[in-house]
Amino acid sequence: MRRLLHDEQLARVVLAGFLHDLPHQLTLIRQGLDRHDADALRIQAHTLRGASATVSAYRLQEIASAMEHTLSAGDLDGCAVLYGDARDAFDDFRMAVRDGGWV
Amino acid sequence: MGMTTVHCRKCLERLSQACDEKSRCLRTLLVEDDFTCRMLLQSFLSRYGQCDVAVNGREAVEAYRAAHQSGQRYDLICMDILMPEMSGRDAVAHIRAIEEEDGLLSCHGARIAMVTQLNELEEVSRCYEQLCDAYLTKPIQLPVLLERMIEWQLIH
Repeated sequence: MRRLLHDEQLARVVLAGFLHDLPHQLTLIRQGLDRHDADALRIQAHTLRGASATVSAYRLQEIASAMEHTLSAGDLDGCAVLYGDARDAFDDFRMAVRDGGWV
Repeated sequence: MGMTTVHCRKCLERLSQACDEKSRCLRTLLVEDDFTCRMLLQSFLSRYGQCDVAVNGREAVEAYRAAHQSGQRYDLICMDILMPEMSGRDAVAHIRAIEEEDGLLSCHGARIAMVTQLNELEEVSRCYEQLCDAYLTKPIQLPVLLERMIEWQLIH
């Protein structure tokens, strides 16, 4: 909250936006994997890391960071495994946000 | 480089809220491809005036050129770096070239803050070589951005 100047209303808006947008981002990663498009995946993984960091979704942030590393090494299979982890981590985060009454 | 004044947390929080109609005149261009970061910065910057949005470097240069030609220059540009089509760094180079063509020194042009996850020293150096004014790393720290806006006298 300190990063957001303790503005709870802003935090709620940003969290709602994140929950709305993340499924689309995950879809883009899935499509990148299907096309074996490493360049597009690199940008998507980077975007996922930034978005996750913005809302303090630490597990997702770590997974996105690991995706960037596997993609730098040209390991698309490793990225596909991490994609599954990212979906699970997003489900957990969404549940935690809702349970916490943030959205 | 001017001296930076450190404001207390409460002062910054008050400044972020107490923006009356008179001070809502800041013109900002936000360049960010990520929806969540964009939503955060747009919500925040809109408190101080008009905040236009571009989602890649190419769009940013087009928006800047259009604003420049219409005489409605941007006061502040918040620029991501790694984006599709054109990077933020290249966009800054284009924007400074437009200003230079018009005889405008970068110190009198738009204030440009890079807002990025890239934190390698080489990247920071490259951006300053392209004459950005600040390099802020994600996750976005609104108090840091606000401090810069005060330092640059964009808000009071």
